[in-house]
Parts: sequence; C-alpha cells; structure tokens
Amino acid sequence: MSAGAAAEPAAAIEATALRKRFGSHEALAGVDLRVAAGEVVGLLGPNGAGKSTFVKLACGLARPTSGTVRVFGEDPRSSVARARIGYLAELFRFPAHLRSDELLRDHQVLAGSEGDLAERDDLLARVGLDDAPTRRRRIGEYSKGMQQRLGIAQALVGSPGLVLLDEPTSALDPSSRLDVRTVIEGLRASGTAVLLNSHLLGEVERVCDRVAIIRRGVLVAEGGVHDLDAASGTVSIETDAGTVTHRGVDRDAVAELVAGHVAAGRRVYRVEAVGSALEQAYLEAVGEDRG
Amino acid sequence: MSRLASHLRVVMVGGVRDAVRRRLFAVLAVLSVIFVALYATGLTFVWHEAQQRALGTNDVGIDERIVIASTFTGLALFAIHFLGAVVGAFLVIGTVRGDAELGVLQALLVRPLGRTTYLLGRFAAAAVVAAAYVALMVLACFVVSRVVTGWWPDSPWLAIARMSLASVGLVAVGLLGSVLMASAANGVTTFMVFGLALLGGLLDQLGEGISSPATRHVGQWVLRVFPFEAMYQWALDALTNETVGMERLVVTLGPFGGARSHDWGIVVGQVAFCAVLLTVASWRLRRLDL
Repeated sequence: MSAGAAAEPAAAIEATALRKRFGSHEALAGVDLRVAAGEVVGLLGPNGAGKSTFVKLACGLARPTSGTVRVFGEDPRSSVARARIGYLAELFRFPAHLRSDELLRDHQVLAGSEGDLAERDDLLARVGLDDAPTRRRRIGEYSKGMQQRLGIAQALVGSPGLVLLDEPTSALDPSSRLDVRTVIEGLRASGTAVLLNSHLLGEVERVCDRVAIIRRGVLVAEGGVHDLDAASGTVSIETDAGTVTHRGVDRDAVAELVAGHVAAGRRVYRVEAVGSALEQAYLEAVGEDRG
Repeated sequence: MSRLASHLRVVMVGGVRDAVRRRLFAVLAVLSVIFVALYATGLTFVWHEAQQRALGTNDVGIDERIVIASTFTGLALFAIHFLGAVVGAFLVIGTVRGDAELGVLQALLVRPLGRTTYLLGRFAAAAVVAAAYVALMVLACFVVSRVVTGWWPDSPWLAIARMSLASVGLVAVGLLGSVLMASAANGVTTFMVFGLALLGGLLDQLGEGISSPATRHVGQWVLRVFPFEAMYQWALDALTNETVGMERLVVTLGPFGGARSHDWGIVVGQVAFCAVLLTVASWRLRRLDL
C-alpha cells in the first residue's frame, strides 16, 4: 500500500490458499474467501464439502495445515480476534442445569462484555426466550429449538463484529426460522458480518448478500445471491392452453416468455419459479456431490 | 478482578457445579454413606469380638486395641484412596475430548479464554471436589473409629491433608488423558496408572518383607514416578507416627502397601508431578483441533 493511501478496513474474514488436512483426507484444498465487515455471506456445499472445517478455522478452533485465515486482520486463535467473534456450532450442548441467564452471564464474563442484565434481556428478547417462565426453567428442560435459539443468543454476547453460524436453523420450526432471519437482518443493519453455513438454500437466498459454494474442499462458485439467481432457472407458466415448463431461463427471459404466450393469444394465469434459481446454481456447482 | 482471574473463576465454578450435579456424584454420595455405615458395622463387630477376648497387652507386649483400631482405619483409608481415585478420574475423564465430542467445549474456547486457563480451571475444580470428598470420608472414618474403639490417630489432620493431596495426582493423570484420548480409553488408562502405582507400593513393602533390595528399589522408583501413592503411604504413617514399641512395628506392616514415612520432598514431587502433567496437557490442547 502506498504511503498516504487510506487504509482499507480489515475484512471480517480473509482466507488465502487455506488448506486443512486430516490424515490422508484433505478437507480444504486451498480456499480463498473474503467476508467484508457488515456483509452476510452464505456458505453452501454438500455434506463433507469442508464448510464446517472452514468455519472452525475461521474461529480459531482448528489450525490450518497451510495458507492463512485472518479475522479483522488478526490470527483467529489470538484473544484479540476471538473477542470479536460470536460462534454457534452445528452440534453443541450447554450445561443442562443452568438457566439461560446464568449461561449468558458466564459468556459475558468470558467475552469481556460489560452489557450486564440489559444485554441479557435484549438477547433473550431477540430470540424469543425472554418470558419469565422460560427464564426460570433450566436449559435441560428446553426443547431442541429453544436450545438452538439460546445458542444464537449466546453467539451474540458482547456484540461481536463477526458471527459464525453453523446450521443455526436446523432444529427450528418455520416461525422460529423467521425469527432467526430477523436476527440476521438486524446484524447486517448494525454492521456485523455474518458467515451463515446452511443447507437451507431458501434461507440463504433470503438473508445473504453473497454466497460461496464449496465442493470437495474447493470453492467452486462465489458471487452475489442475485448474480447466481440470474444465471439460470426453471419456470413454469400456466396458461389456458396448459402448463409449460421452461428450463435454463434467466431473469430477463421470463418476461419474454410471458410476452410470447400473450402474443400467441393465450391467457396467462400463473408464472412460477420451479425450485429457486440459487438451487439450480447450487446443483450445477456441486455436480454429482449432492451430499 | 483481572480478566485471567475472572475466566479462571467462571471455568472453576462451572466445573464444580457440573461435578456435583452429575448423577455419578449422587450415586457416589449414596455409596459413600453405605461404605461408612458398613465400616462402622464391621468395626463394631470386630471390636465387640475382640473385647470378649479381654483385650489388652498380650504376651509379646503388643496393645491389641491400638493394632485393631489403627489397622482397620488403615484399611478404610485404602478404600478411600480408591474412591478418591474414582472421583478424581471421573470428574475429568471427558474434560477435553469428551466435552468436545458433545459440543460443550467449542462455545467456551471460541471466547478469548486461554486453553491453559481452561485446563487449570477444570483441574482446580476437580482437585477441590476430589480433595474435599476424600477429606470428608477420612474424617468420617476417624470419627467412627473413635466412637467404636476410643482410638484416635496420632496426627489426624496430617493424614487427611496427605490423603487429599494424593487424590489430586489422579486428577492430573485423568486430565492429561482427557486431552490425549477418548473418555473410555482415558478411564481405563487412569486406573491402570493407579494400579501400577499401587503395585509400586506393594513391591516396596514386599522388598522390605523378604529383604530384597532389588524389589524395594523397583518399588521405590515407581513411587518416585507416581508420588500420589507415596502420599497415601505417608498418610497411613500419620495414623501412628507417634506410636512407639511393638505396636508401631505391627501397624507399619499394614495391608496393601502400608505406612511409610517420607519427607517433604514427596510433596514437592507430587506438585511437580501435577505440574508436568498439566504442562503436557496444555501444550497438547493448544495444538488440538476442536
């Protein structure tokens, strides 16, 4: 960087040629990925593609075999970086005998948060666990979905600059998923970067700015959600002459197809995307590795 | 309070809280009460039987009351030594790999909490619980011995302190094992170490009994490597360390690697043993992928 040039703010995550090997298995084979501060990025890929490994490297729970990963310019294993990270693991368990308030209080101490009771109230309200009877119950009495929501609240303790969510909605019902989406949108609005590792493409499509698709440890596609959306898709058009399915059409082509039906004197009742365009892009990117 | 101290407090309090709320601990509490009750019953029967033989100083000048009371108390200490090992080992058996497999550990260690701090906190928690448990059990047996026989150890508080410190050694072994292997393998390994140390004590005793310097030498080396066994021997010694004459000779040759006097170097050895094991555990944990 030349002297006097404005310093570019450090990315929330900056992975360069990141490799991770477990014995003879190469979980990540040189991934380059950047998540800017305040950006919400979805990490997609089939089971065993290396998504969770990437997340663990990014939060300092694992060490790369080679390559580098930085969180806000720091080694994620450093306490400086970890003070800015919130993390919800795919598989987690909290001590069953604790209450939500006690758990969050412990995490406040560990995270160095001075938010105190007000922060705990706010976090529990954001995930819908703030009513008095729920707060009196022990975590062991919570349903899986409630524990997952508490896990999200735990990840947000101390207002981290980067939140890593590994399958945060896997145990949630549709209305709880909507709550999580609201939480993530709130994080984006507050300038918090989010890396969302999820199998739920619709979820990713709704909340993420960008998507990265990993296959066999390699980043095979990356871009804005709408860039990938525009790439291709399948559209079903219902007319008075029957329903026609068009494959491999992009966003602009849909309008032309509808215009063509109208010009042919047909009445168009419904135009429907069959599966999401992101789903199509995902399936093309992962090929035969569909988990 | 400094950040390090607050982190240590959270981990330690959490560790103690987890320990006492485990079902294992409730089972152990019940079994311990049963053990003390059985000890009291057994000692009462033996004492009653012995009194019917008109206890006193026998033909060779041994006061049988001291021998019976101290030997039975020594036997109780052996049982408590084993129970202390069970408590110490099971409190830490899954501290790292076990908790990582359950997904408990990751949420904690992703915080700016040092992995060494985490280990130290868990060690301190388990050590406090195990040592307190052993102290309580030993004291209970002393009280039972006193009530039934009227006998009281020569240095009860030294015996309690040494027994408690002995239990801490097994906590360090179990904690290192939890970093290196899965819970089941760690449990087996920890009790093999306990057995090996016990064997060292027996060899030392046997070598003395059969006048074999080589056997004693082997036993003493094992005791140097695993000083928690020597701490146990030293605790037994505190039961009768002020007793003199023939009674002293008889009770020193007590059961299962009996009483032996050591110097304070063994305490240094025990502290160094724990420190070395914790250092290796910390070094390994800092390199472990979770």
